[in-house]
Amino acid sequence: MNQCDKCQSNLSAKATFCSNCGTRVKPIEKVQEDYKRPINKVLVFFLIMLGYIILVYFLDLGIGYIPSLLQDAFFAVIVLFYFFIDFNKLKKLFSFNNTTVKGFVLILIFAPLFALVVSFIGDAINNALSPDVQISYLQTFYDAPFPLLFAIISIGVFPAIFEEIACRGVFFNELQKVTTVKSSIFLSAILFTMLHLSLISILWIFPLGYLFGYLRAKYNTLWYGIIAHFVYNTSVLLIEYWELI
Amino acid sequence: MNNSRRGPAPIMNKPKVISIRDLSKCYSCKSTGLKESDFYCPNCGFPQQGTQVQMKRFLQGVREKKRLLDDKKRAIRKARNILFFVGAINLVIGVILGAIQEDNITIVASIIIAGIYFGLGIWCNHKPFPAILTGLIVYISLHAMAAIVDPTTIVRGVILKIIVIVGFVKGFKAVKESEGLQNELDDLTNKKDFTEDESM
Repeated sequence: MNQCDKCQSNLSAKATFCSNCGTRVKPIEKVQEDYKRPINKVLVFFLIMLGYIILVYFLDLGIGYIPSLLQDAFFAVIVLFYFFIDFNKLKKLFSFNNTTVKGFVLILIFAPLFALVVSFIGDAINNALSPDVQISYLQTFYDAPFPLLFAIISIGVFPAIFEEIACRGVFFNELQKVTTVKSSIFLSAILFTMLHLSLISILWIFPLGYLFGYLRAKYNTLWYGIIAHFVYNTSVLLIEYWELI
Repeated sequence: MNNSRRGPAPIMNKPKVISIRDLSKCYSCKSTGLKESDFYCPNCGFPQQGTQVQMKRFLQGVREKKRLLDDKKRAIRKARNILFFVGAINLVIGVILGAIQEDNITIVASIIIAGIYFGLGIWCNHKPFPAILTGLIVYISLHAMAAIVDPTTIVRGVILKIIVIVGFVKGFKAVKESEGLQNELDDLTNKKDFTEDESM
């Protein structure tokens, strides 16, 4: 038989309050009381990255592999700052415990295929809306000693690691403190999409972001997202390099 | 005040007396099966056998919580309406501008953006927190994109932008604050039947 902690009266099994002294005996269903801190962290981090991207645009450091790598490096520093603030929790996302070889093989098969589809769609949309403008990711690296290698480092490696740490690491972890897993996946995908500052690209960046978020949530690791992101971005580069589309 | 006026006070000024005829039923939450020994309702904590002051204070507290919850829900509805409003503004202005300038990109972009906001507005009815937060992120990002194309857009309509952002922030804060209030009120208002309870 339950008893009231305050007056030791016997309590009904269904009681929320003690019928003798009126003390609440069943706690109120817990809600996230400190939602402000995680949300502030997400918004501040997002605004810093957005501000940095806009600043880089206005500074106009020029086209070339060195400005491009410098921009990537500075972006990485911002992300690493937030990574090390929450290092103990985020380092666990670099575990291989929940990954399998089959998972990586599936990524290696489907990521390039998706890149092919997106390149085709992107090209079609570009031709329809702005036929005079040709988008080239490799152009920035023509002055590099090994253009394709530097392009892969800048467009394949850096975003795969640091965008995943930012979006599926920092953002996702904070969002999980205030909302459900599904909403966290959705919101981290939105943040990821918006950071690319391209309206048309929403069509493929958001689904990719959602998929990476889903993989992060299900397997509690960033590795699937990092590898998928790297393979996808590199495939887009190679499609351009080999002039497949 | 004219002290020469005498006589009983008008009925409308007479304080309401809480009279509980059936002690087995809670006056506040209507739970049944209460015992004569229950000074407080075991479901909502209403002082069933307390003084008029105690009972009225309790009921006032419940009304206050309901009023607070209504305020929060109002803020959430406001944020949802802002989503629809921003979507509508984008659609109308974008289509008109695109038509005048014969720019299909502007028209297509406006329709996409409006669609996003309207979708978020509808989603707000089911999942207000992620919908409003997404609305805020999208709103800020789109204005960032506009600023890249034309930096003067940063200062254009700045008051409206502040109103929109504040509306979104108040909206998702209200969602979180209303969750706790709702749980508390559910405990205080959802009735239970204690009739077959065997507590001594």
